[in-house]
Amino acid sequence: MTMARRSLKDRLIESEELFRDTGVYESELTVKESDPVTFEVLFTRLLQTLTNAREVALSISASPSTREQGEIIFGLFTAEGDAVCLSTGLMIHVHTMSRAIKWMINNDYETKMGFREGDYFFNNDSFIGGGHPSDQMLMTPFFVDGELEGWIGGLTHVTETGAVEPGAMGSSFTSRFAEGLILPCMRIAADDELFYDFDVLVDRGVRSSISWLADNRAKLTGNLIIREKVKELLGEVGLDMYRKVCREYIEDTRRATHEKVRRSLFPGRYREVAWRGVTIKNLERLMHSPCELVVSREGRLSLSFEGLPSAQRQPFQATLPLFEGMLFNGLIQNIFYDLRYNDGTFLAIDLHVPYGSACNPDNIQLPTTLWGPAYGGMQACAQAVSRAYFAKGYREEVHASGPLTSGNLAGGKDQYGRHFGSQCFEFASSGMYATSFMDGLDTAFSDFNAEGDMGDAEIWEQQMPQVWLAREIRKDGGGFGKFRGGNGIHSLYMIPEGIEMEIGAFGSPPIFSTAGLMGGYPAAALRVWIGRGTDVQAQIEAGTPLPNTEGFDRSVPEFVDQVSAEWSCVLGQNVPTSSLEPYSLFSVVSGDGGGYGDPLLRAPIDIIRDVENGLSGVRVAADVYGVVVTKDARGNVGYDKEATDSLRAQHRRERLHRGVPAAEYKRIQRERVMAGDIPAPARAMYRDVMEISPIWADEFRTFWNLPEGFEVAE
Amino acid sequence: MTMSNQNSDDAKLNSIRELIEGILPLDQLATLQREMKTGDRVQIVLAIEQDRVPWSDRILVPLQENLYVVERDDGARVVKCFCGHEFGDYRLNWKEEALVFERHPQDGIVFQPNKGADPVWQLLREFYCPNCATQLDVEPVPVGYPFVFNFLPDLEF
Amino acid sequence: MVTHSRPVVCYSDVGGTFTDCFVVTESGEFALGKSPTTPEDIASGFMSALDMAREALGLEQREFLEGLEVVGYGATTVLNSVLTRKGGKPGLLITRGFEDLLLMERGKQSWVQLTRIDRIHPVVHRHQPPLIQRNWVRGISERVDSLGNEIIPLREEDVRESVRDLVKLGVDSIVVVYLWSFLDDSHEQRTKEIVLKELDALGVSEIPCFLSSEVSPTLRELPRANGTVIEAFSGPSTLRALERLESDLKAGGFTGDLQVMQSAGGLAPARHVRAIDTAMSGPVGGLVGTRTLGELYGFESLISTDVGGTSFDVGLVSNGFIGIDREPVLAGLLLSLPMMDVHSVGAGGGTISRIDELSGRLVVGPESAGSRPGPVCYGTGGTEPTVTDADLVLGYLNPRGLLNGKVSLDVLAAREAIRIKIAEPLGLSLEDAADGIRRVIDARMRETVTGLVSLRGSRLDDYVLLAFGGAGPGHVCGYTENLPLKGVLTFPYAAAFSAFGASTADYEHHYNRAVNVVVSPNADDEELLVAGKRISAAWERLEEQAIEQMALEGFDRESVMIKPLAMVRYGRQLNDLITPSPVVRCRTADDLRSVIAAFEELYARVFAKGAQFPQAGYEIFEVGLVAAARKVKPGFVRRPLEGDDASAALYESRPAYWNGEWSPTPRYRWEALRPGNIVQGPAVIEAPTTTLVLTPNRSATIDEYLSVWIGQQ
Repeated sequence: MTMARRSLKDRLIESEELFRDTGVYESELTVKESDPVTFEVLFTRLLQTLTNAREVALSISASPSTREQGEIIFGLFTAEGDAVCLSTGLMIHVHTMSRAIKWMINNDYETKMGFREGDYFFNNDSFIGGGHPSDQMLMTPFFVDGELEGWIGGLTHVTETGAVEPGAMGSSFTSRFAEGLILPCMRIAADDELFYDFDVLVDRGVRSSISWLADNRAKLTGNLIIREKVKELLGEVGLDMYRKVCREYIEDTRRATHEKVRRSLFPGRYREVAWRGVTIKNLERLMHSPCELVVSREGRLSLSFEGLPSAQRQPFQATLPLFEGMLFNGLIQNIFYDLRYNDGTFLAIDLHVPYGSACNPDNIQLPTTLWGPAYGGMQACAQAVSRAYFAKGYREEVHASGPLTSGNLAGGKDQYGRHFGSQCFEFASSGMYATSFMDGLDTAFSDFNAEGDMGDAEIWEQQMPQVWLAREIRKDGGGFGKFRGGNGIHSLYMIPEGIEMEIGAFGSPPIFSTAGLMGGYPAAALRVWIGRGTDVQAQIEAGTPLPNTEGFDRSVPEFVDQVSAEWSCVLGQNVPTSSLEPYSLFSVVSGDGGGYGDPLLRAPIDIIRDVENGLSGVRVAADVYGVVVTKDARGNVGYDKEATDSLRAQHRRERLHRGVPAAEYKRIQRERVMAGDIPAPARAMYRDVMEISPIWADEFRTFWNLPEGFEVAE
Repeated sequence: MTMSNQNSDDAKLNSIRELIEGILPLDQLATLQREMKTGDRVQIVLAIEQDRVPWSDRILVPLQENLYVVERDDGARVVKCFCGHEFGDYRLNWKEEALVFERHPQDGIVFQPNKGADPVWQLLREFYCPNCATQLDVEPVPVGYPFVFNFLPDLEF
Repeated sequence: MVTHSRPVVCYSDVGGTFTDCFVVTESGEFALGKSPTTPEDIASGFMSALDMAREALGLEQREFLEGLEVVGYGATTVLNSVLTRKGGKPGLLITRGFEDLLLMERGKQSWVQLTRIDRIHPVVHRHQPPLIQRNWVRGISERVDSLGNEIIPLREEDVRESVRDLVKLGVDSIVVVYLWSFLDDSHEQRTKEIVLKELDALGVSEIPCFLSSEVSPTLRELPRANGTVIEAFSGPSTLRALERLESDLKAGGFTGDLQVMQSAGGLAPARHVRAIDTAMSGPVGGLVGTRTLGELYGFESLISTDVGGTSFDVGLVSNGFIGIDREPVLAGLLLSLPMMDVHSVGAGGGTISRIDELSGRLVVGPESAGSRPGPVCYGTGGTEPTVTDADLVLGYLNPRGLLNGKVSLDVLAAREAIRIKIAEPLGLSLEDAADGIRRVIDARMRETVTGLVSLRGSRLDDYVLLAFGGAGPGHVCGYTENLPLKGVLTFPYAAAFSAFGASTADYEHHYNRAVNVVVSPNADDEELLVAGKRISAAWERLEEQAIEQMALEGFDRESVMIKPLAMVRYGRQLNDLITPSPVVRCRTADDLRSVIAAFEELYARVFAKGAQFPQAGYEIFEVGLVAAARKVKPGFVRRPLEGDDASAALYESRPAYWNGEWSPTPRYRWEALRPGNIVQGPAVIEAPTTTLVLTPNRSATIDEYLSVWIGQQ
């Protein structure tokens, strides 16, 4: 006798309805309450299994971002696609693989494709799940007695997708069709074997297919290990128990999320803003990510991003799955690091991301490569959380914004004569934010992956033929403050002889890359310098020391002064790829952290340390920090206490002198707003946002006391 | 309470005071960071802060570095600087009562041209306490952007 | 015990707290010594431990030292020097543009030592203070590229100026790290010449110069720099201490060479060893001993599991090879030197359990109470319930204490701690709470074992598992339950197994060298021949180096065993597999094909068949070589079997908690068990330093070597 099986779609609908109606994912935690030990033992085993699989997969990967930077994660999901347990790794994807599984279920894959054990579905369509076409996931269902009981998924970040520009993350894309091969939930393996024609498709579709194809193998192997292990476990505990505990783990996390918020964050309303923008010619526009966080006394977190700009034909926007991923990644790092990582956290938070905005586009033909306001949204949210910790007394968790990570892309033919296309992923190790108790770490962190790692230069030079002339800690990159932001990496590259190569970069518009907190300055703006037609070859032959450093406190970097070339500088870091001749130079920075607190409160000893380490200069010490640095005959660095006290007093006097009362300031500014005397990139933003968000428009008008219906002039 | 508990409570109080002053040794800091958040920290911090400030109004919540929401004797709840300067009702943005300075993003004083933003895109808006001149906030914003109202605490407990 | 048999091998492990000494006689008897470590003068603690073992054998010092053929030594000296930042004052010459290398730490060094939770909680990440401060670093103009070609010539005046500068600052050694120097070391070699000449001219010729291409000639600049810097920072003082120790021993009558345990396993004479190679000797003994026992029993694949107070260490011997980690982490510094691959998780007797307040979960570890304050039952100030407390509460540990009663255990305190902190919050009985702590910790250890085996791509049923460490026998039934292993083995001397293991090590050196070989997917004979020649040339060079070194140590060519290795990966992959080569040289295209075939076979075993990827071609960027020579080893005494009745060793019965109820449980004295005896679980077998907990469905069989095989029903 066969029983009529309920379709996955019905099960998904039922599960979602239950949550909507009751507000809970699972009403009773019977296993947890009756047998807390078994509850814990099973989770320990699941977690260890996922972690082991990740380790194995790391060894198979050929993608430096995977192997060197750990851009890889595995997850176990319920039949309906809810994440039960995740390995360490890219926490962004706590929920993005869930999205993809649910998408398949909702789009009738069960009836139209059929799900069988040994099937693997590949997805890098970021409207379905993942962050951008570089984020590639492989999902496989598993069955018990013919019934689909769950999913396993693995995701890695691959550095070449066959996009218009090499390295997958170009800053000039105006259409999704520039992003390369995008494959929405395609079956690429059956009976645990990858289809040959898929390998062929990738091999012919991208510049160098090895990392994509090797990562597929890594994910398949990881999934396989997990599947065997989970089925073994399932056999031990029985199906009913397995199903029940999976739901309980999610519900348990949902409850713990509320409890953690209640204990850690002060109730109230928090608001922050972060900035991004578009620099494509004729589309120049500033974009903002306003974040409003409301913490209720009961421990509910509500996040609203009302006021985001609209989605347009430019790459600085994100799909909703990515935006959710970014936010939860930030929330896990900042608040929920000690919970189980699964969809319970997701269920516990209310999120409003306006449809049609650049973080929830209404048109799947738009490019979503570079996230833009989504990254900003996460930074703004983290600052809001920091304020909520501050008020609750948990100063040890308080920090400014993390770095806007940025880097370079390259393609061409490498030193082995092979085609290549790649990103230099050293930006995974940018400057960390300043905290309320210490300087941000230099070159050690990125928001999207807390396990910052830049990889050795020798590894990158094997992958990409550019030669480092310098890889240094960026001087004065981190935001100034009582505690300064961490400095990112400054790299200066030379194109070697005999190499065909094109180079590009992505980063920010020409703005400060990330904000400071509570009186701290933002991190420095990013800049790319490109020198063509250089005299480097002649300098090598002459045996002069080659240029390398940015140098201290300069209006133009030292290396620019030292090399005769046709120099160009792009403020921000968005540079479309173009080919460079041998002996050309180019320099990029990876991103720096925001500063914390009034710089005049910085301890002189911290300034001395920076001067000793060659990270900051004497001029900044005096002008920004009010500290008079001294050097004795032996080169020992110190400071003059009396002169410092008096310089600091003078700085304070100057502030009082130059500061104008806010009311006065607002009066003058209002005139400018009324007259439309606003530079073009911001004008474009105001007009756009006021059109798509009447709520934000009202607030804008109220703040400036503008007439009803006021519009910023075109 | 036993003697040893008393001692450990004192040690705890002391380490949180050092945390607030930014002088807690990093290893002790890490211990604190790993501890369970129990929710009672706010009371400890209020006591320490009340002890640190040079005035006697009751602190309701530390709003941010140097700023507090206090309850005055007359019952008014206002934002107050460490130095004693008052910024008015806590339900309004304290920035409306601060001194403001708009800094050119490549002025060569804070940011050199090689490090600053493009003034067409962004400038720096600095907020100072009108009394002690402490820099309380820096907003990197474009022309015409409203002041950000960072925090409105829910004080109706 | 007064022995009439000559002591032959003595091994001393100088730990952070204690120095352990293990002496084996010709006939296989052994004696142990233990004494507090004396960091300021290692020799004094070393000698007291030695004396204790000697007295146990009833020998006079001269007789004892003259009799010894081998004195082995393992120490954490280098590790401690790095951890405490107490060492020399090296200056660094590095490729210009890379002066910040040690400060940047590649980012990864700021979190690599942290737990899973701390890694995802970035405000707890920290940079470590560099071993060489930034203003003692000088950039040198020079550059070699990724193919080993010079692209910027060495600027010799940079070197001269920097040396003068650094000497003025007071450096006591000079380290040279250039990019890609492992492919072409001529810039580093030339730099050394100039440095030595300058130092000589400055009248400070005693200042040594260390080259990265000599200390660690492998890809990746940070690990290469770290290894070289550590050698300069900790090496000279470590080697001086060894020299003093050796001369003390010789003055006492010892006629051999002092041998030092290396991190990759294997002993080397103190006079020829490099400090960096000795940095991690602690966990090595267990693995070496595991391999030795494997040889005794005829097993090639074994798992060593060591349960101590704070950590659970697992290592593998597969097909006779001890797993090697080529990218180990030492005190938070990334290295690229071969070290024994030991996975460590926070799980041991001192591991603390607590209730997570947010979710009410039972959490066990990874925090540990360590030896101070220690478990609650030790009465040394511990207040948090630990795994040892759970073991005691359940009636497994003898409340009269360990070490024959030298340490007494406070059962009441342990019960109170578990009752208040675990049982009541969970709504469980005291016993079920204690049992829960054990189940959680055992599950973590079990998954670590299975994880490591699957990580190395092998099947559990190929392996015999050895359990040692003070808490190993107490938990082995838990963490091996239902695992399809070939066998589970433990010993009465489990607590001292590492020292025993180290005493069985051979003389061994590991060499690695970078090569630059890329093999295209369908390579023809000619391509293979050219590639093979490069590999052969590197092997040849390593072999010469090995033979030369072993000759210095007194071995002729015939007595040295050479095992060539190739580190192979698919094209552009980033991880390679250490592939033992089936040929000693690649003279023909087929020779290289056989190396590749060996890699393919290994790959399919380690990962999965589906993960194979020959269409990507192959890359061999490094080759290696192990040179070994046999050393005299402790003999194993084989005793006649005496039947399965163990009742002579039974000394009492006490209640213990099994499967939800208290039942009277027989307790045996381990030293009284005879070969052939079988004990059925539930039972407890006590030795002075460890306790074997035999769960109801398990049995223990004593074999002819007094090892204990744990069976499953």
